[in-house]
Amino acid sequence: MTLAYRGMDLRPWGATLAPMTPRRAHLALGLFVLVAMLSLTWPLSVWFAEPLPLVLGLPRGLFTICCWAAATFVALLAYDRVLSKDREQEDA
Amino acid sequence: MGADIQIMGVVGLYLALSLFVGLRAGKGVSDSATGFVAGDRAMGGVLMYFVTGATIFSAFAFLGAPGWAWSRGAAAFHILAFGILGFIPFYFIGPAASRLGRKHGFVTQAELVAARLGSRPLALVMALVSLLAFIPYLALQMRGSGHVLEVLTRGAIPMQWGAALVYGVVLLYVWRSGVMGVGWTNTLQGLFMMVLAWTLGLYLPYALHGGVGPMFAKIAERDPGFLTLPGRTPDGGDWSWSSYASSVFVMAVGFSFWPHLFQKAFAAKSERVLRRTVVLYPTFQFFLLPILFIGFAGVGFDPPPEQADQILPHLLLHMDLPALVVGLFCAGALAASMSSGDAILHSAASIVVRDGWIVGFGRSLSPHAERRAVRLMLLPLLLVSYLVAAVFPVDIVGLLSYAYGPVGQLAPPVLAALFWSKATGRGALAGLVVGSMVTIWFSRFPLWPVHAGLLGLVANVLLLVSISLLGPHWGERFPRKR
Repeated sequence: MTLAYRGMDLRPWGATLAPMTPRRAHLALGLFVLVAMLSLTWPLSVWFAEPLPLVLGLPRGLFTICCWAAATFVALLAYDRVLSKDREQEDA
Repeated sequence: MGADIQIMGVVGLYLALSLFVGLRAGKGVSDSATGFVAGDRAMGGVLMYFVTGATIFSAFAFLGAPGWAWSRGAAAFHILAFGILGFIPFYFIGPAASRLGRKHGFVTQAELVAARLGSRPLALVMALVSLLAFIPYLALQMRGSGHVLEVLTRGAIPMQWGAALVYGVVLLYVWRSGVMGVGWTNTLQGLFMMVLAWTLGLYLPYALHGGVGPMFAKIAERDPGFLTLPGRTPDGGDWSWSSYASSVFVMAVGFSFWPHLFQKAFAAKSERVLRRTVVLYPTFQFFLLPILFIGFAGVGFDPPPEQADQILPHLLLHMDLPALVVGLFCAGALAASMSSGDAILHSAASIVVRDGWIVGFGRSLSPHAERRAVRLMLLPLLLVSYLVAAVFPVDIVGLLSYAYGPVGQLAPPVLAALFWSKATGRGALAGLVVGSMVTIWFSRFPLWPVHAGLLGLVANVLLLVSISLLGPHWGERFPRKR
């Protein structure tokens, strides 16, 4: 829902994500993969490399890798949704 | 002796169930090469998820990965890292390959690339590179299965006999049912492995250290460097960041281009199924997490195993667990070995016949004759791999890492064939040959602390691009549908 208030476009946070175009989705996924690859192959920070303190009982490196696995799943899911909708619209 | 019989009983039941499922899976599939190699292009979502997941997680998951965690600490994290991103390219190449497969009748990776770039020798070289990676990889699976049976029956079943027994079962169901046999047994094996990995992965740290957190805290207190990335080398020194980073990179790049995995693009029911499989794939990494816990649980265990790869069977044997539990683990390890071994064997046989004989040498076979030829090729391939497994001792993850080097070289020609209109057969061929040679050379004689596959990829891409730009360009070039 778009509300006009003193010339400003006050849309809820979610609505700003909704109209994501396939082009933006490609860009976002590309950026995500780049950052993930850098994080998974190179120590972006000491926090990533050092084991202590443990996070949820896991060494920090392992915990970070698990977070990337979960984040990749979510990113791919979102990307797939955007592209699926686009394909459906094209088919229609 | 009674315990050995119980263990063998559980293993026997598992093998019988796998055989039953594998033999039944081939019902209703057409009597053609497309039926045998691509399952009549009708594989659904569940099957695809387990085929892609269980195919990649092989004997190394139950033996090699805990061995690395036990002996090299944080270095083992890279096993988890490369699989997270490795399958993403398949979201794009899978549907593209599937579409072309339906249109032109392709069932192998090399066939598609050779047809697009108009180069028969390219199909032959890609087949050769695939076999270079497949034979040691299959040998590794056989050795892993034989090894588990030998250790857990305390030598009652020697490695060679164990491997022959397990792969005899694999041969039967792959012979009968082709890719559908691989698919349905992988589903059974994947579910079994997941349950077993989490059960053992939580139980062993709890039994030996009081839980996962206390286990890591104890290891970190005793030797903080052990859990610090990038971990240790096999002789206990510090592994370099360049080796760690390049290993993750090369293995992530090579991941989607394993020919047996790529071939599943031709077996999928729809492009949607392929995309969904890629989206769900990172969740399979959580199956590997408890596998690492198992290895870390063995740190400080007395007595230590003779070899790192033996840590899990060693722990189970020395913890006085019920024979039923040991037998279940044994069956799980066999499931891991078989779920990769069957796919590799099936793919290798189809590659020799389709890419070598039909595309490479330009011979023609009827669909029925081709199916028979693929079946017959299973025998020599299995025999050669068995001899390699019986004769050469191998480090399981080390060999896997080596195998990813040549497989990674398949990425540039496949990507170029699908997405770069200026790519030429000559460029792809030169890049692949030189890239593979560079990889093998630097694996044998390392010059810098980086994965040899990275150097091969650089040479490969440079040659592919530069020679392709010189032309001549063939443009779209596909054969008629068979």
